[in-house]
Amino acid sequence: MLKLVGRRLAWAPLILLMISFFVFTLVDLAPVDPAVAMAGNNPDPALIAQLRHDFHLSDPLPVRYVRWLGHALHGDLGNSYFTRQPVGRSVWDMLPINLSMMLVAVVMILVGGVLLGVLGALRPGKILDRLVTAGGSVAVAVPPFWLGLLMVLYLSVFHQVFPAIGYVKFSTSPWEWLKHLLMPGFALSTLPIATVALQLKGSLTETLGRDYILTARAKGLASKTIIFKHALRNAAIPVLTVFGLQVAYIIGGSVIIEQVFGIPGLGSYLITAAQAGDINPILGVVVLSTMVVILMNAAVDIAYGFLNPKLRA
Amino acid sequence: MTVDGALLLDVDGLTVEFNGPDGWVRAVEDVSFQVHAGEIVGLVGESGSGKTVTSLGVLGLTRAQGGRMPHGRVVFEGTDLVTLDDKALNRIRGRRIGMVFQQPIRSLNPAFTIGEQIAETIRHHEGISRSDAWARTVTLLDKVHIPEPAKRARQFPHEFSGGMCQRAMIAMALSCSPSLLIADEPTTALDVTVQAVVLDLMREIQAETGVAILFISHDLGVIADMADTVAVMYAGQVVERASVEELFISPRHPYTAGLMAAVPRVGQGRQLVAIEGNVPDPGNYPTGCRFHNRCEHAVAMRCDTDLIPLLPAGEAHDSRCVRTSELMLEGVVVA
Amino acid sequence: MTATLDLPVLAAPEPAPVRRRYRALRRFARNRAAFIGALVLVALVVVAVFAPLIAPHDPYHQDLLRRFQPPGRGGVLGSDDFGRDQLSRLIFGARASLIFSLLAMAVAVIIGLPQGLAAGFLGGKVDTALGRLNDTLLAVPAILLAIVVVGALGPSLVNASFAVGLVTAPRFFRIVRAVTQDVKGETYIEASRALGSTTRRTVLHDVVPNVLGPLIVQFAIGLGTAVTAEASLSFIGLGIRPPTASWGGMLQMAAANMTQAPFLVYPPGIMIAITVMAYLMVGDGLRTAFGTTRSAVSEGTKA
Repeated sequence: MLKLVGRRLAWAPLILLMISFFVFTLVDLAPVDPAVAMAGNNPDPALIAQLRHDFHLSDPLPVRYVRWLGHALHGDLGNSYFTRQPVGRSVWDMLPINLSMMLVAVVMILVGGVLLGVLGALRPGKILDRLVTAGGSVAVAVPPFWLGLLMVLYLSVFHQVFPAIGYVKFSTSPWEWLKHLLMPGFALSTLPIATVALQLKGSLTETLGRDYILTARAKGLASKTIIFKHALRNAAIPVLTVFGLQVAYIIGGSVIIEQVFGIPGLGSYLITAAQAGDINPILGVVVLSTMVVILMNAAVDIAYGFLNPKLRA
Repeated sequence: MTVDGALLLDVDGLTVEFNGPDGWVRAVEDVSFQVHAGEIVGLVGESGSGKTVTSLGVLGLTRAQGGRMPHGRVVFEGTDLVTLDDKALNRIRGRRIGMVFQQPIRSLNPAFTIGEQIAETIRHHEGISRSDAWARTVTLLDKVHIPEPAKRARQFPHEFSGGMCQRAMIAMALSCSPSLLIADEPTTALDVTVQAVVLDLMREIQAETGVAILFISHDLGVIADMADTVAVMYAGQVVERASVEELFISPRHPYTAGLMAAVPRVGQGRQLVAIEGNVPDPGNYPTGCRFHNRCEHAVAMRCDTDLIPLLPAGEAHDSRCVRTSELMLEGVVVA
Repeated sequence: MTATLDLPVLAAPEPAPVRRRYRALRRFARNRAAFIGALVLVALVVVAVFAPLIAPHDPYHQDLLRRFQPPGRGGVLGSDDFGRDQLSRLIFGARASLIFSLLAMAVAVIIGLPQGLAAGFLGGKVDTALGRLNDTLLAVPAILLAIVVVGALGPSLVNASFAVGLVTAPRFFRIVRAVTQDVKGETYIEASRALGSTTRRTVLHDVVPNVLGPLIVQFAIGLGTAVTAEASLSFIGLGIRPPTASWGGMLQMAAANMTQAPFLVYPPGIMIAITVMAYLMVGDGLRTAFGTTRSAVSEGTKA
């Protein structure tokens, strides 16, 4: 199984290479000329020429790409043309913010999804199950950021339950950190919770009909043991794929959610850079996100191996 | 194959219903039989006869499958299991009554090792330490003749053959020294040679520990081999009860006789005899005797009107047939 | 190539695509959810097409004396930061959304379909290469890629829908490839080839009709995800640019003025939800009607 994970990770460098080259080329096609944009309000031709020279902007595309690649492989992601700040540093500073949001969302998905999924399997057709099924159908259609706006409206504007905007570092105040992340986390995780819950319900219902569950009952084990130890272990397997997809989904979704809640994370960083044709931050964020998705898939593979002994060795 | 005499399990008038799309359907009706300490009781019947449901009913496992037991008693070691709630039943399941199922590989959890699953049972019922339970597990695996038991205990079900899985299941079912083992078609899914091994094992264990066995099968040969007394089931009812010798030499119910006639016999040049027709589905039972529409001895007005009760047909021999005293039925000829 | 053997003429195969579609249509109409969805979509299309006639006001018309009028006094749905009538902008937003979705999915099909056909039919190295290419595209969270593309090209309806189409193309690739592989493995293809059909004929006559079903299903579902994508991109300023009316843009405006004019938040979001639901219900109905469960791609999550 480690071989499987290893093989998948072996593709990672190629994928990252292709993505970075694709994005590099794409941004290069942009009508925005970085030198002109950097020159500011009074574009002095001499200044522009100087900037172009300093940043090697006249070199052919492959040369520039390879230069970026060379630096990147040494850990140097370059500087933003506009803020002149090193990309690596900026990303490092903002990473905890996005990771925090993801963490809160993932915890909500796991807790909510498992709880609702198990309850749905145990009490099919009852109110909770029907709510989740209906909720799932609706959640698919509702844009998460609109959900976020509604939450801000009702929980911050109309009634001051949660703060609407901003981010507080965990080190400053854990409680405030959490309070600021609850609404964004929930907006992000609503659809994933429903998706995971429905998938788990189906999978668990099917697993509970299996022969080995009958054996477990005939052994006199308690219901809780049967569900959470014997059944869930096997039922979780197909849910893992869905869960992995959801994590990729919330990586993308968090970019938009940041805007709703005024969270100064990598999403804002990317959007600003994209609008300005600022290649280094763009590449930094895209490559990082792709790496996270790849790692996520590898983690899912490992979890598969853990849950399904047939995949090991 | 001696019978000690003490009444261990007394199933009296057991009825099991399942909720289907058209309402409650009776899968098993008015089933009665007894198992004494150390006895092997065979429950014989075709698919759909209700024998599996009966075995599940004994342990109250039909509830989890959406069934209910409106009538009947299942008195085990003095207590009526039907009146117990799940919590009390769980103290009997796996501890006083062990159960083995038909598809051994499917009946073991693929996510856990064999050893873990056996040790789990022991720890759950007896609360001993992990290491003690593991030691006992290895001993049990050795008892059921699994080679290299310590190594095998750490393997997963998919690494075991069907026969080994079944032996492991037997070990698991007997892990807490129950007084009754229910075996539902334990060898049906196995190769013939493996069957013999498993059956030998069961006999060996029975002789050693004195455990009573409720052996369910559709295979008359296996029943003849293993059982002391037999109950024959058809369409959800017990149609004949007798000792194994009595049953095979002089069956008193046409269905039983039909089953015996259907067994192909080598070297006698006989044509294969089949019972015409099909086993009726629950809910579609004919009126009167449930077998009458397939029975060559059926008589109008007697066999197709009222429900037929179990009637005495000899010493410790019952048959659900109104014509049982009139018919001379052919059994298996013992050479 | 002509058959030189004296074989009896094989009966012409049933016009399978036509008959199948007729049956499919009837199955679809019986599905209540799909039927309602279809009605909603028809209504939306009508609104979109006849927007200039239906909208009470010009969506661009600013009336700075009547900013942030709540619903009632200032029009059915109120007015925004520039005094523009929200109902009219909502109606024109439907038009923008429809054009956006159709464009995006057209791009996705144009990019994904040929690749899928090539990969499924030719197999081997072509299949591996195209497979890797599309897997790579799928490795990046879609919205991120869309943001980068729009950022590079400049925000506009055309650029944004192109971006969305680009990131959705791999899904079409996968489905077309799967169906093509299935069809290619069918014995009647071997028979047809043995009788001398060219690749082109096989593709057109046999592969394409089978691909159409799942393709249409994915198209319908994709239209739904494109609506959400447009809203998201316009919301962050990388989609349809104001003053053009778009639901996402309206939400951006609403978000900026939540304390002053909370009523601006509801209408665009409700319309988005209704529209996406309609597309998904129709897509699901089509899927059941065509009887194909090949589109195993989960809809709704634009991952």
